[in-house]
Amino acid sequence: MLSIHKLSKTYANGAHALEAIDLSLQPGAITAIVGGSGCGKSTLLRLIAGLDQASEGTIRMGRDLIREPHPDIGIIFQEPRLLPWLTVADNVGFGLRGRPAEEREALVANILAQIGLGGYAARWPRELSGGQQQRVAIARALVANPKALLLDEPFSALDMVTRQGLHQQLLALWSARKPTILMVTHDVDEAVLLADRIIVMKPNPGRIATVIDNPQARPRDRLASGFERAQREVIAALDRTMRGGEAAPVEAVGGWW
Amino acid sequence: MTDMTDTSRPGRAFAGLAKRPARLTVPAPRLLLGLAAPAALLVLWELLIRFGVVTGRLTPPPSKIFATIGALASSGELATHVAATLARVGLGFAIGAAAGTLAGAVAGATPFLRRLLDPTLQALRAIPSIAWVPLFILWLGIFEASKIALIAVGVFFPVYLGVMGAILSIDRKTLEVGRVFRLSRVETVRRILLPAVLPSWIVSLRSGLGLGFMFVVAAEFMGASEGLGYLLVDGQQLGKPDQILAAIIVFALLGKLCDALLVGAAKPFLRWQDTAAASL
Ligand SMILES: Nc1ncnc2c1ncn2[C@@H]1O[C@H](COP(=O)(O)OP(=O)(O)O)[C@@H](O)[C@H]1O
Ligand SMILES: [Mg+2]
Repeated sequence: MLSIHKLSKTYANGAHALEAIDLSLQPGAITAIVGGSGCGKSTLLRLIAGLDQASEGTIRMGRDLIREPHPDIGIIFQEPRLLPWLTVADNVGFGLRGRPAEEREALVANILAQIGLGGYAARWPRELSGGQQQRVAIARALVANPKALLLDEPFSALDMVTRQGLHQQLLALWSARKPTILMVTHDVDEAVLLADRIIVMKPNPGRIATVIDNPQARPRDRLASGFERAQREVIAALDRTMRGGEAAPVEAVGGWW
Repeated sequence: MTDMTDTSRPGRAFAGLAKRPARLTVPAPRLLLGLAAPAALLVLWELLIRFGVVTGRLTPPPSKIFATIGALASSGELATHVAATLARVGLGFAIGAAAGTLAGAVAGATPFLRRLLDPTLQALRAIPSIAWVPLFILWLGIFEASKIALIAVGVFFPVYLGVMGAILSIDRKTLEVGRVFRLSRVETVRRILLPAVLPSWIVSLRSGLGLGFMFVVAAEFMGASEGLGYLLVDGQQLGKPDQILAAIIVFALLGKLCDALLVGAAKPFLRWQDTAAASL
């Protein structure tokens, strides 16, 4: 599936964003990445999405080497990034260019119904709330059934109630389609609720500090003892990355919560 | 003020408040409201002359101006002048807008060509366009070509700047969406660049059109035997203020009409926009 080998990235300005990342994702699993800001989480996702070039190392999707956007890898950003001149249906259909119109319409209608936006097909993006827009972005990324889906803090701009609704919808879409999911979040609760595996990163340069398995049964219960235990484990690991003795600049360690 | 004394029934004052905006908007269509001030001015003007407060020799009353427009219209003269002016504006606008769009697109999309072309164009833009008139007459003669060239130059610059600026300000994040979905270059232009640039392009065309009407007057001042600008000059030379004012009014109507046509043509493509005013 997705496998990453000795991946490093140094930006043109000298910022050493990632150093020797090794990571391999199980097909159909959900993996979450947590870590302070500036530890290279977005950089990692952008490299996997083929939007930036690695300095060293390789990313493979199956047998394909990733150097540019790959048809089997979708990405959702922190902002919905809908095209304002397209209706909701056309925005979702944007991910299906080249398919016959009938097939496209059927797939779009189907996924819009699944995310509860069946009645919104003809609306303009500006007529939707932030949460609805992000749902459209999720539909756009998933409508073509990519094998892998990357999400970079997709819900962090939303209020808690909206966020929890979106967690359930993402899980529903995931269990129907089973894409491999790699999501960045700064919300430990979100990571423990959604992910099978939680990767804790540390900065300067960005590396993997710890990998925590989270084998709880689904649907997950926030009040279950296993849930709380996993949460505490992640928080402790995050704390260690910050007290790790590295001379991390204040900005880099500030406020993962 | 709403009557606030009746507090016996809760919600009463609130209901009164809620109704008020409706009362303001229903009986006063915007068009009529917009016409009220000029109409009042015209009536006042007419009355001042009727009652002999002013002579109106140099400021003919509205009735006389409209009579002049009527006479010009019924003799067929007006149609000739309007057609001549519209043909010049239309052709000059088409040439200037096409060239401005092309140059703006090229300069916006390719940094090399921008660095090559933009300084020169900016320098040329700093020249008051009317200053070209003698040169254009020398080069292109006194007839149509020099007039159309002047109008085209006037239209060119706002369109060039508008298109280039619009391309330069396209959001990188939006372009990235195109990359994620692996759009080809041509598809990126068609599906992202063009729609993103369209609103600014329309705005720049509108200012170009406005300048086109400004420059057609200058062009027709420099020797024309027909056109609304000719009517202005002729009215001045023959001492006919009513004809001058008639030409000015026709200019205003024509300009407004062409602008409205442009906006109307663009409207279906801009419904997605989230602008404060419904009109562009
Ligand atoms: N486009 C860029 N150019 C230069 N440096 C960058 C760029 N993007 C990120 N960086 C730097 O790389 C490091 C990691 O950034 P990022 O991947 O955005 O971290 P995170 O998403 O974990 O907050 C930071 O030090 C940041 O300043
Ligand atoms: Mg980030």
